[in-house]
Amino acid sequence: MRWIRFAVLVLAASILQTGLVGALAILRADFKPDLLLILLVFFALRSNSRDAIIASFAIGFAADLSNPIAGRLMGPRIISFGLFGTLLSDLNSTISPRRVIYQAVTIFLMGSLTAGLSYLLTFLRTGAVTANLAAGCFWQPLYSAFLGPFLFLPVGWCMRMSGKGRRRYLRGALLRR
Amino acid sequence: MTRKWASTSKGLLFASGLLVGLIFLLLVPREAAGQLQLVYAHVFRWPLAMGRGVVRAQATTPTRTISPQDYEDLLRTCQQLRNKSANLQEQLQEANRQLKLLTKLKARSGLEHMQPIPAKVYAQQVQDEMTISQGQESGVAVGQYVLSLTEARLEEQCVIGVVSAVSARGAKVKLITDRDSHIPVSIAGLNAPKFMDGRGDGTAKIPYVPDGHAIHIGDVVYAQAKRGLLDVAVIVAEVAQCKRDADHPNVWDITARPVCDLTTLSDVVVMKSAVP
Repeated sequence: MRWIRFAVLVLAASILQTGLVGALAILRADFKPDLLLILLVFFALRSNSRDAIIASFAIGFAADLSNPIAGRLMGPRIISFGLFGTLLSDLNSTISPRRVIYQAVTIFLMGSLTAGLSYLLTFLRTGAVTANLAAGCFWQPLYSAFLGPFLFLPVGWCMRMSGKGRRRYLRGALLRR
Repeated sequence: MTRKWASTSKGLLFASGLLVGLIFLLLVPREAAGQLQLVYAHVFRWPLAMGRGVVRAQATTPTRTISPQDYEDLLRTCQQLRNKSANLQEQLQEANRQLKLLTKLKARSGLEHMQPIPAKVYAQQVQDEMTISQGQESGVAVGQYVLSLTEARLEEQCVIGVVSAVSARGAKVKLITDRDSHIPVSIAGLNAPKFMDGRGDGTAKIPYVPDGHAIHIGDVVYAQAKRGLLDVAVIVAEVAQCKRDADHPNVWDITARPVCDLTTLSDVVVMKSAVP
C-alpha cells in the first residue's frame, strides 16, 4: 500500500467532502455523496486485510475530523468505519463484489451501517438525536452507491491498484510465485 | 522494522484502532475534539473556503432569467426597501433612546406616579410659545406641566411651561417666559407660595417677595408641587436679578431666567398623572 498517496487521497477527499461535494447535492443540502465512504469501501475491497484495517480507521478519523456528526465530538466514525471496514475486508476473502451493481449495493449497505452505528454512538455519548437521520442512513449511502463504482476507477489508477479485486490480485500473486 | 510491522497481528491492529476510537469518543473532552476540528478547518481554510464559495455560487445562481425592465424594477424596489429599512432602523434607535431617557426619568424620586409623555418640539412660532407633537390622543391636556428632556442634562431637567391648548395630535405650550404665564413657585426656602409671571422678553418676574428674606443672584426657583400635575417640586428658573421694587420699597423685584435654553430644545416631556 502506498501510504503517502493514501494520505493525500484521504485528505483531498475530506476537503472535497466538506466543501465542494455540496455542489452535487440534490433536492436538499444533505442529499450528497460521501466520498470517504466510497474510499472506505474501495480500500476494504482492494487492499490486504492489514492495510484495510488501518485504512478504515484512518478514513474514519478523517471523517470525524472534517465532517463530524455532532460538533465537538470525535470517535463515532472512527469506530464505525473501522469496524465495518474490517468486517468488509474479512468478508472480501469469500465474497468479492466485482460487478458494478454489487459494488453499489456494498457501498449502500456500508453507508447505512456505518451511519447507523455512528448515530447510535453519538446518541449514547451526547444524548442528542440527529435531525437528518434519514439522509445519513439512506439517501447519502444511496447517492454514494450510484457514484462510488465510477470513482473506483480513478482512485484505483491513483493508488496503482488494479480493478481486479483482492481475490484475483492474490491469485495473480500466487501465480507469480 | 518492516518485519516487526508485518508481524503485527490483524487482531491487534483492529483492537488498537477500536481503542483509539473509544478514547476519542469517551475520554477526550469535547472541547479538545472541537479544537482538533478547528485546527483542521484552520489549516485547510483556503481550499475549504473555495469549495464553499463554489457551492454558494451554484446555489445562488438564478435559474430563471428576467428581463432588463424587471431587473430595473427589482433594483428600484430593493433600493426603496433598503431606504425604508434604514429609516425604520433610525426610528427604532430614536425610540430606544427615548425609552432609556424615560426609564431614567421615572426612576427619579417623586416622579414614580407620573406618566411622562415624550414629545418633539415642532416649532416655536412666537418667542414664548411652542408646538409639540403630542396631543389629546396621547393623553395630553391643558394645564399639564412640560419639562425639558435632554440626554446630557437629565438631572437638570426643568419645567419649561404649561400646556395651553390641545388638538388631537398636537399641543401648544405656554412657556414660563410668556406674558400670560402664572406658575406657583417657591424660592429660597420661603414658606408662603409665590407666583412667577412671564415678562415676554425671555425672563420672568416673581413679585411681592418681602425684603426680609435674603435673595441672591443664582438662587434656584422651584415650580411647586401640584396634586395630579406635578408630584414633586421641580426646578423652573434661577434668580438673574434682585432689586428693590420702585413702587414698593419693602418688597423685592426679582427677575428670573429659565435654566435651560428654550430656543434650542428639541425634546420635551409632558407630565401626566399616572393615577386616573
